[in-house]
Amino acid sequence: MIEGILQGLEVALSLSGFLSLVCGVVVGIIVGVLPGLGPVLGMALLLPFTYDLGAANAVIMLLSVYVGAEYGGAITSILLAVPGNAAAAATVLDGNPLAKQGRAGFALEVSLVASCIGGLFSGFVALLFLDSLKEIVLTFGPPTIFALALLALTSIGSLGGGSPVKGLFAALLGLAIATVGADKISGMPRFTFGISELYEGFELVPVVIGLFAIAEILEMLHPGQAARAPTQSMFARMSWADWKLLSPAMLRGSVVGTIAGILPGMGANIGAWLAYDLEKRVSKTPERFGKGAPEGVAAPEAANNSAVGGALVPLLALGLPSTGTTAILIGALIMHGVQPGPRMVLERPEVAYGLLATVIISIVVMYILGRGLIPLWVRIAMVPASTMAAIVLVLCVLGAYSTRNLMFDVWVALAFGALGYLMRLYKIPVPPLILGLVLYSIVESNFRRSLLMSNGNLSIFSESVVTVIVLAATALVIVIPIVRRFWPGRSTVSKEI
Amino acid sequence: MHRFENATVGAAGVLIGALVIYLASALPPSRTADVGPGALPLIIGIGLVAISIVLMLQKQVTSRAEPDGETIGDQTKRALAALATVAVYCVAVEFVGFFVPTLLFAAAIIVWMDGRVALPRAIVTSLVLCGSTYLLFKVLLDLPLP
Repeated sequence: MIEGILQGLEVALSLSGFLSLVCGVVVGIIVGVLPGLGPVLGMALLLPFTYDLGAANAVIMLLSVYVGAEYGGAITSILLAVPGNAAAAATVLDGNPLAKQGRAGFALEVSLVASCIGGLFSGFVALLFLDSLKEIVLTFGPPTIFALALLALTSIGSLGGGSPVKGLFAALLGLAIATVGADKISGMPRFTFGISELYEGFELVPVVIGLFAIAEILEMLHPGQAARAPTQSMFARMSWADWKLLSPAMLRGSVVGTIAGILPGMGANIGAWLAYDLEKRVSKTPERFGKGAPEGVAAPEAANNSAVGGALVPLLALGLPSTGTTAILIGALIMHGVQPGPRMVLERPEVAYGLLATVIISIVVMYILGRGLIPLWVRIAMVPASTMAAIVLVLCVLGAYSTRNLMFDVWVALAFGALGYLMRLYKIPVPPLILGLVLYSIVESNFRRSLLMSNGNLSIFSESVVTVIVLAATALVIVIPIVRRFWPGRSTVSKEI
Repeated sequence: MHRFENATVGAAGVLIGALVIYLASALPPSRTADVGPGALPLIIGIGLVAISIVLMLQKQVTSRAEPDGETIGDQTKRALAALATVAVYCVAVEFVGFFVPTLLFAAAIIVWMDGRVALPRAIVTSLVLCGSTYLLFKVLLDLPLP
């Protein structure tokens, strides 16, 4: 293994490898910053340029795009409340309030450091424990993933913003919206009303752009009363106290993100939300969340970048793509004559370990580039509110359009903007809706696959110890708050049920 | 108006939930061990109706502090006007193309919010916005614009 790691480092640090890596990180940050253009599109754009590169350099470049884009998405989330990609949506909740308080530089620094720590963590975990993690991946069948998705759904209670009823209402609304589109098992169109653009369901990026950014602008647009942009502090470095406060959040986010990256179908989007939820749950002052808590930036940012290293585990160990980004990487490998799978580590160690070394080195490059650009990003936050509104609205339209190059997605963003505005007006929390939207297909497809595997027998959910433990944990998460509510002298429940 | 916030949201939820139940019931059941495409949507619809009824029955504990003494009706009217403006821009983009509507829209938003004093800034901003968008999307990334 040591020999393989050294070979990987040699490839990633060679002149051509390093140039591919830097180019990939730069493109990644650009596509990450631009709303609607996530890592999948960035990698797809660069794919034709990798034809003439060797297999190792090609995958180094593409993987660096992935790393850069996961960080870049946070920049517009913090500055403009427009998530650069779906995985950066959770960062809006506390990142944008920090920018509004004049602490955009600090929020950007936290997101950069957290992204680096998350990426390094998952890179080292994948590098050192690839063989052991392979066994874990194999134990996660549809019943276990269904159980994990159910556990993730219990986050709704914490994301509900003080009113569990409204949180549950929003989550059910999100789940109902997610039912639109062709059924994943039978292929039958469901609630599409003959609209072909709805066959794949609602794309997440236009929905998130609408719910967060357009809703914010609708509230902000006020003739003759443009709010002044907050004065931003250019000081961005994290103090010792910040490190002390945020290190556990970054570590927890890294662990959650790595696991989410490893599990099929989960990935950075869900990892970021779960990390945010976990951070809010363990915090002694959860009421600060949503109002500019730095942990609310650190945890999801560490998680979405740590999902990169996690996603490489099923790719390298089993040749399976767990996300769209790893599917493109597999495509690039096959294009260059490398067969992904368990034998890749033995037959092409320079490519396999080169990928893992790339995660680690591209993080260092990303930190240097990202650190240098923070003062520039902070200046954007000082733009007058009216100019900001105009720029954000145009970016929203472009971001929604770029998802599939369809004006339909722009109208979807606008409709969800109106919904997001109404939800703000009636104090219905938005995060549970997004969580419902993201988790529905995982819950449904894995539940139904499990039943198909067992010929309709529900006992399949008790066959694996891991599944039973996860289901028991889910039950505990639901039951404990109810017991506490009726436990004399220990009620901490809000007045609104 | 505040007293009816939960009732309004709950009523909307009941309607949406009922629609989901109706549409899910119309989906054909599966002939295999699979529960079929309508099973989970049906459960979600029932859950939505139930939670909406709980919301409607819930007491409105808090009242909303409106900025500038605005009522929900005033705020909604203002947001609808803003939404209509954005919708007009989207229609223009769909039929005229990206650049001309964007130039006019970006400048109009700035002048609308800041007054005519901001006209020079509005013109510069809209030109820079269109130029940088073209450079990034068309030249650098070779992506189509609406």
